[in-house]
Amino acid sequence: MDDNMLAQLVDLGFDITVAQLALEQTNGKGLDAAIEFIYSFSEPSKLSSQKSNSNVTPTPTPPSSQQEPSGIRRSNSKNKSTSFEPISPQVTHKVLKTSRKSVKESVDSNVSYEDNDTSLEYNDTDEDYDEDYYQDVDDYEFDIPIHDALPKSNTVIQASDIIHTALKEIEKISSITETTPSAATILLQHFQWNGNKLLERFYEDPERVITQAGIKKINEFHTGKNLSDDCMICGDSLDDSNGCYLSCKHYACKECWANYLRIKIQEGESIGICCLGFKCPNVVPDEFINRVIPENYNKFLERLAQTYVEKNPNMRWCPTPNCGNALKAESQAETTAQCSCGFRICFKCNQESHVPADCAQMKTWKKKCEDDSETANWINVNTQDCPKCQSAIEKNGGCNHMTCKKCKHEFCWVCLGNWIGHNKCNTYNREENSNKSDTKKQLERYLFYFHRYNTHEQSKKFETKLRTDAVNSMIDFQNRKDKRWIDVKYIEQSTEVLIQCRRTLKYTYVFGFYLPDGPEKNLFEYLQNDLERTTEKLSGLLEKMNESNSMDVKEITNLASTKLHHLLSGVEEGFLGH
Amino acid sequence: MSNPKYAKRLQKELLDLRNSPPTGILIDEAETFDRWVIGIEGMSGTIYQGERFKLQFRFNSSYPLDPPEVIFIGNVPVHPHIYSNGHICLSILYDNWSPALTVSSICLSILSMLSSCTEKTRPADDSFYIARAVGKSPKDTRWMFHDDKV
Repeated sequence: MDDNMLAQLVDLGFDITVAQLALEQTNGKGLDAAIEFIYSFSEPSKLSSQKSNSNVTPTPTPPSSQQEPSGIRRSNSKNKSTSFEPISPQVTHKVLKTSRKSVKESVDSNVSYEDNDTSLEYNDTDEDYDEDYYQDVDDYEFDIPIHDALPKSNTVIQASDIIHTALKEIEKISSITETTPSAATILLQHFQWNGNKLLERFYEDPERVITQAGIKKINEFHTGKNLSDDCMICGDSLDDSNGCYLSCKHYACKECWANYLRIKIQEGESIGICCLGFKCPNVVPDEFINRVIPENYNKFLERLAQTYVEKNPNMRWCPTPNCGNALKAESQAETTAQCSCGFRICFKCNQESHVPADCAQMKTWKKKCEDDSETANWINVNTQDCPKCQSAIEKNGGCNHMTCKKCKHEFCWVCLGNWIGHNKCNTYNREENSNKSDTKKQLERYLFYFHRYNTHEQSKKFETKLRTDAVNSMIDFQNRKDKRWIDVKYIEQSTEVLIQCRRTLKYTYVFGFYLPDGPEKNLFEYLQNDLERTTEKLSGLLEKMNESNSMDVKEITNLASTKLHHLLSGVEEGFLGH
Repeated sequence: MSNPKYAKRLQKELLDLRNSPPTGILIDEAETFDRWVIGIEGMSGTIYQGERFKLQFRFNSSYPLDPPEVIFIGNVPVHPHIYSNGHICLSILYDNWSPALTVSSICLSILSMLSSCTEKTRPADDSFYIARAVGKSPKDTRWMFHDDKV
């Protein structure tokens, strides 16, 4: 790291850790790049400030050579990076604070500080502020918005809304194609709920689409007509209270129709139940079902919602037990989706999202784990001995930084090495095993990866606990410290980032297991190790959560997010830049 | 025991079969509404000409919404779709059942299945199938998710 640049940054008024971080992240590309990086943290809030902050007068803009077209407020922070040199370090420091202040303020857009923003000097004159409101102004100065670890590009449809969503879709198609809802339902079913494809085809040739979907005479049905024929099922005579038939004129009484439809619905059919006539392809419209068995109509709608999710190639059920939500990706190109319950699914194999490993690797890996599980079980006992005093220790929290209760020895749960000076335990050391047989070496290599995979898998079990803890400390902070929800929301966000990191780390061991040796693997393992260390750090911080380390938590959270991105984009694009 | 609602239907079918039986179809036994035995005769001009077979129908309370169980008893015809234990591989008896079908239409379908056959052979998997199907209804062996209650 360039100490010179670090010194310059500190002189400019940046916090030393922030400066270090910035230089690290920009790989010494220069002072400007580092400054740019620091400001990039506050980007999302700046956007929100443009949206929500019309009632707040703009903060004073320092001498500026260029104006951003997108907004005065945004130009404020932008200018600092472009016109740094002419401003003295002292002033810059204040400008930085001003901008952060404005960022924070933008979140609470109902509060105006017109009286206070008249001078760049306001940080030196704290008394000018409304003391109550700004008593924790120190927090504001360094507040960092937290970004999501992994982007989410899907919508979550809550369990209770699925029927409603399906009906809305039907309504939309019905109004565009000018057909009845019954017909629209069958059309949608015919096109696997792909509304766009349906409309495209419909505009090309509406007649053909209607014939193909079999809805030509869908609206021609009767539920109560006096007929000369008897019911073809039970032989009762048909009068105007019970004579029912569709356009195909298979006459039956209401009771027989009801029994027939009930059985079909019970068997799991919904849209697309055919007429009870032998080999009759006529589809029973939902309005007919509603009239014959109104008491079972809700069940029918439930089935409809089910096919809505199951037949739609862009939708999946969330596999979490009792969740019941449906996930909808924007397009079929999407490979993952995240549910509001926190579950992340791979759209291709319907398992938990397993980036960076691919579906084929996961399949081979799972099979391998099953085959070798006896050995693995034997090796992978639930307790480990403290490397110093040999007391058996059971891990009941997520962090791998262990401190023996008995002898206070600190060690890494994964490699059992001393925590002090511990920095790298994700690389399989082949030299160590050079004089062992090939099979044994292979097994050991597998167990090495399996052990790490499993350790992260075990940590997953504490996810629920982590989430509860996060909510508890958020409530606790709000009660004890008189903080607002917006001030403590970062705890929840950090917890989610931690969970995402752990999940990804778990699958990096599968990926690593199948990655051939070479410079690519070295680079991968370097990034993996990097992420692992940051994750452990974040985990440790969250475990001993208190109000004084909020800044650390936020910084480490963002650091972990960035490292996760680096790792995943590295895997996606190839590490060596082909 | 038949559902009173549908006893009327079986009554009607029985009456029709008695009064105007289709060619080659005769009622052997129809004392109850649970089990009927219908005799069918191989049509002239087919390889089953002059042979007599017996079909056993068992009705449950959901008939005709649920298909009857139909098997050959006694002399089982040698046919590529009929197993030596009497089970018949015919989709209308299982998946393609419609309540509009009747005992008479089933018998006619089976007769036509026999008539179109040109070579007397057993199904290829006969011995394998009958070993597995001992004591089972053909409806159970075919309908994996079948629920008798409906």
